Amino acid sequence: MAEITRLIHEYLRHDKKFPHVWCPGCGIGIMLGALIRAIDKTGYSKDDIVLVSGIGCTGRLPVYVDFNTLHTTHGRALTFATGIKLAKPRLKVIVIMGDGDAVAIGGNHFIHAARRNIDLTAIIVNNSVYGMTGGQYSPTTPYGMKSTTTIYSNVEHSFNISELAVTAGAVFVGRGTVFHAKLLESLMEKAFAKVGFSVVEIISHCHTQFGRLNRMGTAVEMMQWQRDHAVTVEKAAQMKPEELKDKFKIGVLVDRELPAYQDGYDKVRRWAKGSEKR
Amino acid sequence: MAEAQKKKESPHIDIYKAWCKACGICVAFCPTEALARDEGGYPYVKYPEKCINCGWCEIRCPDFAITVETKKNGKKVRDEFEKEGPEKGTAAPGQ
Ligand SMILES: Cc1ncc(C[n+]2csc(CCOP(=O)(O)OP(=O)(O)O)c2C)c(N)n1
Ligand code: SF4
Ligand code: SF4
Ligand code: SF4
Ligand SMILES: [Mg+2]
Repeated sequence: MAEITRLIHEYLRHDKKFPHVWCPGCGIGIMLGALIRAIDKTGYSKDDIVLVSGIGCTGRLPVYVDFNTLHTTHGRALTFATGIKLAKPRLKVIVIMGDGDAVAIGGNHFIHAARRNIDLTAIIVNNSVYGMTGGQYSPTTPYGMKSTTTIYSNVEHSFNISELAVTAGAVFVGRGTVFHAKLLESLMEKAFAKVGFSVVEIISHCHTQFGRLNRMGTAVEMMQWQRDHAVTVEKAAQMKPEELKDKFKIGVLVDRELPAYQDGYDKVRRWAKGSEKR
Repeated sequence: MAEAQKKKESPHIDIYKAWCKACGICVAFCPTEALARDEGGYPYVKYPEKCINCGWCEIRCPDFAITVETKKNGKKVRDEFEKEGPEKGTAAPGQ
């Protein structure tokens, strides 16, 4: 067995059923590989890491890995994660969510976690639909595309998760695709190193639901689509707006410094206790 | 003799069939077409000598079912490949 896979196996829970539950070719497995490689590089021990997820195909991810893991309710992963971080600030808390988890039912939690700048990393797999429950449209289903609940056409405009995170105040926002799995790993690494609310959006494919309904082909073809429509931030800076029309940017979208919530919170605690003068 | 030596130097690729779901990703994105699919859609190493040890099949496999042993001369082999056919791009932007 070669190094990369050996490393992955060190972090898998071998008492779980493998191969894992995801459909053949689903991008979530590729993202899991990138996540493990990135966490391994942080130098944190398994016990220092907490993975918190909601419900969905993406939400199943923590089940397979040997960290402290919490599989919570749909849309509420960030609220559980907030509690863990405030109670045990030394832990590295990573929140794994689908697009539905993060910006549909959990949208309010998402913007406020970003606004507060609480020290969490949100990893969001954006596959444009509710995968687990049968391919219903989500707030990231593009306008004009089909889903099982918009069989003629989605007539709602979609959220851009990364832009939403930037606007709401996240200090680090990166976007990658499962095709660009090495970039993904480096974005996660950067996000983990950041203090404050960091977000990595992962453009992935649900070929069995979204892909099939929209005639986008197999997992391979959907990954070819990712390859052909993603443009690095650096390259995009040299392109004209019309050239970028059907493209999306990948790379580091925002990296800035703002006081993290915990710092202010600790200060207030000291003031209240009288251990420090205001 | 030269042939035999070359073969020896090709990276060793293992496919773990019990976990493989025959999705075709490793085969489709192998830059040198070293891999191919059998009748069942499962991957196999068709041309071991073509493999440039880029590791992409392993990194993109959603099921951790294919592994490539890293060779010391891997970088040299890849650099040569890049020079000859940069459009195939194992090092395309963002990768
Ligand atoms: C409170 C609540 N509402 C609805 C559901 C049903 N439900 C389960 S997963 C899911 C959507 C999953 O979509 P997403 O978060 O994008 O994850 P994916 O499966 O696409 O990875 C829904 C609506 C639920 N489990 N709990
Ligand atoms: S339903 Fe879609 S998101 Fe869920 S495992 Fe299958 S391909 Fe992946
Ligand atoms: S290591 Fe690269 S060249 Fe070799 S089989 Fe895998 S993808 Fe192909
Ligand atoms: S990418 Fe992995 S699961 Fe898919 S065909 Fe190749 S070895 Fe099998
Ligand atoms: Mg989804």
